[in-house]
Amino acid sequence: MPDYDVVVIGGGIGGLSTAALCQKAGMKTLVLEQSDRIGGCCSTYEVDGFNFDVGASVVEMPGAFEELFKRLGVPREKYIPFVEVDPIYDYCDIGRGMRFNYPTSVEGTAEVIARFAPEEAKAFLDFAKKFTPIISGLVDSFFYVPCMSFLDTIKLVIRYPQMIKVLPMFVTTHQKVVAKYFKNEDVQASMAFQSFYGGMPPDLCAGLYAIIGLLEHEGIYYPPGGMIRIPAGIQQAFEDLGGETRFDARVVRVMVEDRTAKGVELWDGTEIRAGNVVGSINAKKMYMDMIGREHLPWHVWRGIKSMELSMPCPMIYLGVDYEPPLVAHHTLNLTSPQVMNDYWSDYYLKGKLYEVNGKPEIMGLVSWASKIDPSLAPEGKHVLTHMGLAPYNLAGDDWDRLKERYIDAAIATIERNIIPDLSKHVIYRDMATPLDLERMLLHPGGAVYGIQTDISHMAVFRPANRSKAIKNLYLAGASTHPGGGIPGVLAGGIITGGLVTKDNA
Amino acid sequence: MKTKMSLKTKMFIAVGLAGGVAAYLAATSEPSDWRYAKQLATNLPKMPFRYFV
Repeated sequence: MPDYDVVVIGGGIGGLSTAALCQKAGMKTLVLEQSDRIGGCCSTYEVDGFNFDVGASVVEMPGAFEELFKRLGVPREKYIPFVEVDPIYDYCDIGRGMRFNYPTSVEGTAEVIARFAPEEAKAFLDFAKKFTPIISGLVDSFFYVPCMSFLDTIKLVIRYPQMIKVLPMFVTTHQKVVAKYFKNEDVQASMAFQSFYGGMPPDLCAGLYAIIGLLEHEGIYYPPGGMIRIPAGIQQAFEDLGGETRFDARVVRVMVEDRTAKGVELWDGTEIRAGNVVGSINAKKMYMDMIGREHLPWHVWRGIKSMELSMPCPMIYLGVDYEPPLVAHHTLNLTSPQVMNDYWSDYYLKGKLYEVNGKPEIMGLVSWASKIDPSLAPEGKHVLTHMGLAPYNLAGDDWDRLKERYIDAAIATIERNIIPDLSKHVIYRDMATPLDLERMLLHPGGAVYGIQTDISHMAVFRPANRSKAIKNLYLAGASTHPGGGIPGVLAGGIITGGLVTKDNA
Repeated sequence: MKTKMSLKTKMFIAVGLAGGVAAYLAATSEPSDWRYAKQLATNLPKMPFRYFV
């Protein structure tokens, strides 16, 4: 007799949302979190009165939360408060004296563009008018349903025929889509960074990511108290329904008998038997380390082994003794698509950090969470985080040795491009290297987005929400469909929760 | 009577799908797409196996 109906490996928001839906359906559910803190990449830690978001820094597509809590039958506001954030991004190029920000409003963004590229303002309005309904419709039709087989794909197209208009975007590049609609280099640069949400530079990322950014104009949000409020809120909803969460409960093995998941084994040898197992950890780690070759057919093993990990996102955490001269929650250095492409091919793939004139140039996104919630820092002080892009494997170096130099280089880069004199105000500094992310969060390669998100790893080619190889095994989290990022992981949790409950009805 | 599609059939369909993507790319790509094409060409043979994960 199993101890539980469902055991979920991992206390990230994917696993938690699946667990909550299972518990809601009356299934006795246990969540096992390997660390002492909920949330994984979507979490917050405190030191010396500074509260730093571990990785994820903002909420886009809040509809995913409304969908989850609608299915749980409770109001989202009861568990997770949101404050609206505006503008979406501020873009800086101090060297050229260029600075502008995009507000949430599409019309407002067009007005901003008109100031430096008048010919592109109408182009942006036309772009938004054409693609916002399509991407919104795609999300409504595609986001919360499984896509594990060719039949699923055909059903999706039947349900949403407009998807045919978007299909070419899966096989063209982000750069091509943007260049088709915009000629101004600064406008192109303002959209280029979002290709890295797909884990690739603009000339390798699927074109779909060029229009996904339009969803940000539907509003972006932040939970006061830090991003940990999100997993903590879902955990609370789960436990209010009768669910159980255990911490410091690292799973080392999924118990499989006759190609059927029977439960899990913890690091201390404890075995927990369950009718169903949900892995919300990296799919490669689960299949290759926790299940093993002996339980998987050769073609499945070959498939999972061939999957590429997403790029790691080293995080820098800075406590500063003043209010930084920023205007937005998110600030980016305006970087051209060509620079991003060159970074990928000439530096990232070769294990090197990007350099300009012999100096490291640490590209990334600066987040200022205490702008939205001043309580995240002591009075008069603020928190800043920097999400960078850097390879896990370094040529001729390793992250433990590089760590302090990387922080120095990142502060210098931010100082050159975004916040002059920043170094004079830093009173706390730390970082999570890709190696740290691997150690703390058990993400192989520090891959916080799980599996790479290009067309060869999407939809039916992504590890399925219901395992095709092991019965009673399911996946949640960034590695499965639809993918990484908060909305993707939440949607995946909803899909997987739906599958588990339907299969056990 | 419902019959389950064999592994061989599924593999053929998966290869066909991957091949269709390749043909579309060949028909619509420009010289600047060669890096993308190379990336896809590297991954296309692996996609049929990923379908079964």
